[in-house]
Amino acid sequence: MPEPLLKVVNLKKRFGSLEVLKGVSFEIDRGETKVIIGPSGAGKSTLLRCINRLVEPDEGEIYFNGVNILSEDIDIKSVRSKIGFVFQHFNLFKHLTALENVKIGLKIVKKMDDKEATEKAYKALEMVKMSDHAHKYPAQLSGGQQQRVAIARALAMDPEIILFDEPTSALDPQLVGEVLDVMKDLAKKNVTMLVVTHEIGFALSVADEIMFFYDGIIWESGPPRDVVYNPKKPETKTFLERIFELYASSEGES
Amino acid sequence: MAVNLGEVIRPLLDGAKVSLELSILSILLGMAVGLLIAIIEVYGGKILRYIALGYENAIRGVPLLVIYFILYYSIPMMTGFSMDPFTTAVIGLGIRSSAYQSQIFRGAIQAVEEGQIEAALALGMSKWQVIRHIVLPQALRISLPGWMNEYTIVLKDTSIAIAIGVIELTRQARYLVSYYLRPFLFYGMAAFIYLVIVLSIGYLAGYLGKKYQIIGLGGGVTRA
Repeated sequence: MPEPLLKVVNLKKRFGSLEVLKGVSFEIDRGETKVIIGPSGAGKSTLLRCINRLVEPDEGEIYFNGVNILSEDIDIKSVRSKIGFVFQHFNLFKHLTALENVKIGLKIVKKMDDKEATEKAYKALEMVKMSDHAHKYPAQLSGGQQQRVAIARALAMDPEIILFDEPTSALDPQLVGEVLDVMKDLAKKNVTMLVVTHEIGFALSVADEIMFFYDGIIWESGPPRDVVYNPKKPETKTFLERIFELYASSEGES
Repeated sequence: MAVNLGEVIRPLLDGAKVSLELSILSILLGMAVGLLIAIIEVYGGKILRYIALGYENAIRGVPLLVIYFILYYSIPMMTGFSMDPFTTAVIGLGIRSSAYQSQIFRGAIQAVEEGQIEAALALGMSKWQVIRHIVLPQALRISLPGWMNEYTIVLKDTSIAIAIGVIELTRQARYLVSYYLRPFLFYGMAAFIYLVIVLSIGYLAGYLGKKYQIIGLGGGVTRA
């Protein structure tokens, strides 16, 4: 059996007296889409940030292509350039146009020449249907458009996996769909994705697995339908009920 | 004594030229040092940060005239190494300005959101690449109004260089006053020249602010 693209083993992280990650383990194969759900403020973002060491974990192992990226002799910059990251608040570079936002990693990290970088950036922008807005600055784009540019910025680097940290949570409801459509499209193209989200519908339609993150560990995981409609643990059930209530009530209002 | 305008305008303009040169070299020296201090204060390790903060506070606590006297009189006596008045003035004013510029730049650097820095690191950039390509281009734009204001202060404080014998605009005015005994006229002319330069800088700032303005990014300059 081939080794998984990403394998996280017993990952732990503590901020002062607060233990956020208490031993998280999971793996993702190439081409898979996995979704992490769970209560807010519980450490899901920390977990994603540990994977590319934007946050340094205290303990555990992270194997990326079989190599433990927490070992000391690892060039973390090179690892990061292969792991895309899409943030809740987009985090586009404000002084650069959409096109330049996508190009900058190619030029500075991958040392591509300008022409090659431009072509590649346009391709990435096309994949998220943003090439018409290539020369606009972030402030001229809607939240959904900004997030699509951010996805293009990650895609252009030809990452082996993309981590999504609640990519639609900061968006107005009517803009969520355009971002989810892009992500579904990527899932169908077998881009490997690890997605933290509350969008259960997205998980049901494209995820290979749902992981319920609770109390610092992966509390329950399994195929989306099993976890969503037939959760084994009461905590999972309670969480999902609350999510459904929320969605039902917000739909009722609109 | 009758004043021949043609005879007096020349020394005043010569003085103004020296003042302008002194101000430009000082602001640039102050910028180089101030930017470095600001970067260290925000991104440096603990020890470097304390040194930078100590430098900033120490310099801000000493009058420019005292800085000049230390550079011009104390240091040559202690070390035997002396500089001409103009060089001393550039270094003194540059050092003094660096402490204020570091505050301007530090604020601007901190105004660039953490999220953008995370995003740049996540692409695989080194810390220095992030500072160079993401933080500084935004921070410099944001700091433009404060920086231009600092320049007008530096320009006006070039007049203090009279104390160590730099032949600048105020020195030339005083020379003319002592000759013609017309203080109101010549100090008035000097004041007018300073004012013209400061207003021109204001217009230049407005122009630069517009030229490099980016929608959604701070740093637009409002003209006085």
